[in-house]
Amino acid sequence: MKCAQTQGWLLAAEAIGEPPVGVERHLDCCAACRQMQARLQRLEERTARLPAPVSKRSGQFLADLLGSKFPPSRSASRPPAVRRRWIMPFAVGLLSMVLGIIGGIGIDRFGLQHGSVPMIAEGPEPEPPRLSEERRESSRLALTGEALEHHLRLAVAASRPAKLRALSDLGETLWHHAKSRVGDGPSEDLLLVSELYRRVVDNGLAETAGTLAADERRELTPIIARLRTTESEARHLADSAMPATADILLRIAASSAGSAEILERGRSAPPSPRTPLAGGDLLSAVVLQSVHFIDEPDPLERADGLNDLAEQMAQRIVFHAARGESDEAAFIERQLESIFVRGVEENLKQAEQSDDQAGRRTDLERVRQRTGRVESILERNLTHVPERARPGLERALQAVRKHGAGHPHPDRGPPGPDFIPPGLRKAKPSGEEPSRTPPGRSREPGKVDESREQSL
Amino acid sequence: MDEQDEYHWIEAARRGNPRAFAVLAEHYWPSIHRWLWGLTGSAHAADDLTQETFLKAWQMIARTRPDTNLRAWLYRIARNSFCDSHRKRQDGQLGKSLEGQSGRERDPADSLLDAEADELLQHACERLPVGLRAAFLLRAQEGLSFCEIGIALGVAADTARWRVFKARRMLLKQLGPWLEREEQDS
Repeated sequence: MKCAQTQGWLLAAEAIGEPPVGVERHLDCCAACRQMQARLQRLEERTARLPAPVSKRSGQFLADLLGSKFPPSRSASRPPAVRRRWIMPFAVGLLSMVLGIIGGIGIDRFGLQHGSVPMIAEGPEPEPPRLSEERRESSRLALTGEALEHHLRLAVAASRPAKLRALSDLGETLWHHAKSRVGDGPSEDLLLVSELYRRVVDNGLAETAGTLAADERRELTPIIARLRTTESEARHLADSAMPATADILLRIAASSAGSAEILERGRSAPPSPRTPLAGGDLLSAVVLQSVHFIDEPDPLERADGLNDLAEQMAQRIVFHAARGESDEAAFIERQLESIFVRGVEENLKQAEQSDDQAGRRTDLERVRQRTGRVESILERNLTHVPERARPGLERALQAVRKHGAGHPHPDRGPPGPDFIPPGLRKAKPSGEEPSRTPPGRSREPGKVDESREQSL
Repeated sequence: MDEQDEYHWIEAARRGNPRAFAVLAEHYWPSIHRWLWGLTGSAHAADDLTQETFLKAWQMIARTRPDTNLRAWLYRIARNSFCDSHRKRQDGQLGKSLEGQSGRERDPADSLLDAEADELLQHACERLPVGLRAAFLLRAQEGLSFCEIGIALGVAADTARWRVFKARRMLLKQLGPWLEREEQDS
């Protein structure tokens, strides 16, 4: 782990003093990060001790309360009603749909406009506000970061129990995210995350647990307990959720229960069909690759897969940079570096150390050189993103050059297709194919580089 | 107050027992007041808003679910009261303030060198955008988890984490020289 990842973890940690093993290892040998950790701890401890004025009003309030000066609780005289938390979002959704159709406006668009209005509720326990697109994106990014953390642990884990633990942690992270989305109703986000959770549990845990040796089975106990907890939490939440949300939660509960049972019996589930997921976003790519890696013994294949992921990340960096979202771009930039340092490099090391790799030098070199495609995506967009986003992209490029295959290599092979963020794509005349010539390679001096014109 | 006790008092308060609610109010009053003071910078305003928070909570507690996280719920009410009061003062602009506007403008540059550490930190917190400040104070002062901060501020837990991340980064940047000096002194 490098300083950037460690410091990112420290800044985003719930408990700064309780770092995970990887971070702790880095802290042990890095004075700068240790200093940052100490500073953050001092900062928070001092903030907690900041003096505050003493309120003089509490005594009077309590006296008034006990003297029955305040009206009693509105529902105190009736038995508590069964709350239908879903009725209001459902009504709002229905109204949005009708207005959207009448006005020729897409429902999503309308929903986003509605969500962007600051929520100042009249009542003290308002329904959770719908997330704006920006918040949803931030939240999805943070989830992707956490998922990637588990994914990289899995990608370099030496033993099968360690892989299962990492996959179980990934499932847990997805479940926590799904729980936090339940209040929003049956959103696309909830659907996607619950589907990913099911893939992790059904295709990942349940289908591979039977391959454990007898002495490794005790590792399954905490995983089974976790699945049982998820099952009970999902059922409990489903009781008060609107029907469509309840269906999603009950599917999660069923998956958790089914997998827990299979793990208890110590047998693997038969392989289930793996239908593709709608929407190929980064989170899905990370999670599905984790499920794939659980039974991928070849480090070279894993390194190659991680290179695919790195390419997608490079595209996301350009996407966010082009939209001026420098924080988001920087966030993914750090993840990209992690992929190279902790994922690709580690797996290549394992491949090199492996005895049966002697005849696979060419494959090894091919995988190593693939980082050039990531570099190419970043390089070609560098001059096209807004000025303020450029330093971030340059940092990402430096990280790739540092940890990837090095500087451009003549045998690197064809670069990937130009990535153009949605919304910035220009319509091309029909029949015109985009140039795939990378900038600065075979271009004649003075000629306009068409590929550059088309990207951003 | 341990979890079991709190559950007992919440149940009693939900049934309309003012004494039970008084126990809860007495327990949470200082924390809510401190947080609101951190947001408003005025003890008087914090007093008003804290009282409003607990009054609303008393009126609505019977409508909560038995498993409601009381602490996060109270902060949520406090947050709404703060938004309401700010909206009234600023012609409906406050909702935005929890998203990105800067907090009270006090340039600490002049007083930094001679200020006491607490004052310096206080000023640095005040310079944070109010949305980040709200999340950071809930984490650092009140010890809420990201999930609870999310409930309190009406955002996802990950967004709460994101805000704390940004707040910490800004504070480290602002207080860097002072932290360094303190390290040298010690």
